[in-house]
Amino acid sequence: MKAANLIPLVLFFCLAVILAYVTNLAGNNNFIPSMVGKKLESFKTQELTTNSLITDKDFKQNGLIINLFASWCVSCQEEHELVKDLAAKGYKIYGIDVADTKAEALNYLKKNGNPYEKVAFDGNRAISISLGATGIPETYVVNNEGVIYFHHRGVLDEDIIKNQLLPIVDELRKKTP
Amino acid sequence: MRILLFICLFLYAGAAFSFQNEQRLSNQKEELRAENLFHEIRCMVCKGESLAESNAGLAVDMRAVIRSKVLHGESDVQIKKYLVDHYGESILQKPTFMPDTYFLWLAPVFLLIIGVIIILRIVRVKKYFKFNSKNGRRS
Repeated sequence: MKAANLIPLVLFFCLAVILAYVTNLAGNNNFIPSMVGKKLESFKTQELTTNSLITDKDFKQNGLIINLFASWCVSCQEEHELVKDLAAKGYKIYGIDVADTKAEALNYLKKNGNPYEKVAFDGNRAISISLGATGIPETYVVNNEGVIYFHHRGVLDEDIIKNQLLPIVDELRKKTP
Repeated sequence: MRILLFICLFLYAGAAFSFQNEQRLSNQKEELRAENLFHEIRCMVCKGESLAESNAGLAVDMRAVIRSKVLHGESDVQIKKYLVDHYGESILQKPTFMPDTYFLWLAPVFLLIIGVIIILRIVRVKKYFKFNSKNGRRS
């Protein structure tokens, strides 16, 4: 009879193990897989400040950091100083302005500082969706073929930048001048 | 009867979808195909809703992307595969039956079996106690 008392406990552990396995809590950020290993898709849009044409080809550079932001995005401001620090250290960062108006985006960059060498205007989220982005901010690192090496959903912090993002960027930048 | 009619009116309201004011595809068949897809795809920022029900910015723009893919002649399977590649299985309202989801799909069956076994056992135990008390023993 005593062994039978243990049945609920055993069932509980079985369930816990199975759930931990199927949901893979540690490896999955909100259960949405990252885009690492996939390639940039072709796109064509306007550059925010110059209004000139900008395409996916401009984004194919070794160790380029791509940062999705918008003027309406509150948590983007949280990481904005960190992104500016990266730019000040000489890292190349291109922005993608998501679901925004040009006037408001320009105003945002004027007010908070502009760490981006170029900004692709993505008013209808077409580029964001092709990048598998759900919310912003999101940050990617690519190589000169457009293959994604790093993908972070959400706000960057110093730890992620130092231990995850920069090692990848530094490694990729060694490949070509 | 009147109450039933009243309730039915509310049920009817469910048919109003969030994309009613959007630019539709001119080809009725293609539009219908796109709209069917909206029901099968989850809105990634408001997990309880499908694309058909959601008014979130991402959902609006994703509907536009799906419409343009339908317009370019991509099949339902191709479009769903594209979205799964980008957002994972969880973007489908109905996950596909594969090793990762066996547990998800089969769990209800197992739980039902376990439930039936437990009920049978309880019933049997009760019978046993009844039998014993009839014979003058303490349970």
